[in-house]
Amino acid sequence: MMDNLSAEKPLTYDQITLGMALPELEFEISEERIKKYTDAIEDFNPIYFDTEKARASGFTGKVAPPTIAALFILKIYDCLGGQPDGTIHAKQAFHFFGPVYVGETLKTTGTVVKKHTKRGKQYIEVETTSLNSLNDKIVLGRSTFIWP
Amino acid sequence: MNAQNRQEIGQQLPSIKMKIDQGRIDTYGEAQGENDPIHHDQEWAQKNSMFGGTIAQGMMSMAFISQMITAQFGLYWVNDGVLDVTFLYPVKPGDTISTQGQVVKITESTDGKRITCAINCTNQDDRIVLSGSIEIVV
Repeated sequence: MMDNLSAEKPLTYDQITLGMALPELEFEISEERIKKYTDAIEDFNPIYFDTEKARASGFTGKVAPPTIAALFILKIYDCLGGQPDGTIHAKQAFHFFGPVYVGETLKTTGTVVKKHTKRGKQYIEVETTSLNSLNDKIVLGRSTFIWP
Repeated sequence: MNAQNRQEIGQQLPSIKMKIDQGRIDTYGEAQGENDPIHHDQEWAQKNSMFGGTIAQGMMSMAFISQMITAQFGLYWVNDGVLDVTFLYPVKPGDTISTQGQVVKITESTDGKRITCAINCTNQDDRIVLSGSIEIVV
């Protein structure tokens, strides 16, 4: 495990170790983030923006698009100095356990579970666990990257 | 709730179609807080990337898949849903991406009906850019 996980520049493949634990990231699901994200993906489901419509649909408040998880499960690499330029996202899995509500702050941790080379490419796999404001498990993730 | 009340094997999910341009890629990057030149710097990408130019973030296409699932089943699928994809081909500015999904398995469980769909995204040349599966409980 790396002693210093506050790298200023991205770690190389060799510097990343199997079992490395990424420090907890707090991530606010703010209305501003929702706005930017939904603008980018052109998803304007009213339950993301309108409390009454969200409640009428059975939720307790405005909810976030599920794949907003992409934002916080990638942000955890900031502690590694980010990802190197040219990193390619090869695979992604999410297991969702409930809605993420606008205004919540999520806590995400990650662990490097696999690293290997194949056909000249270097692969890193990271499992993430995200807890909601009630400390309930809300999203599990598994990401595979081709590390330059 | 948008969900159809009956699901059956072979049922097609409603396709989502999105035009990808550099502006969308840049907005997505702002939302994600990333500034990787592989997504945003055409000159860098042409010189340094195997793709010959900028590419969209892989998770952007995953978001379109999520929209397709929600359009079919309503957002309740997030209460117990697994979405698993492999990014197979780069998505570039100028591409038009379409989502496809089909119900391939339905099992009854104590939690409800467990539905598995095969899903993918294709570009305007029918090239598969992403493929995988979703498993949800409704």
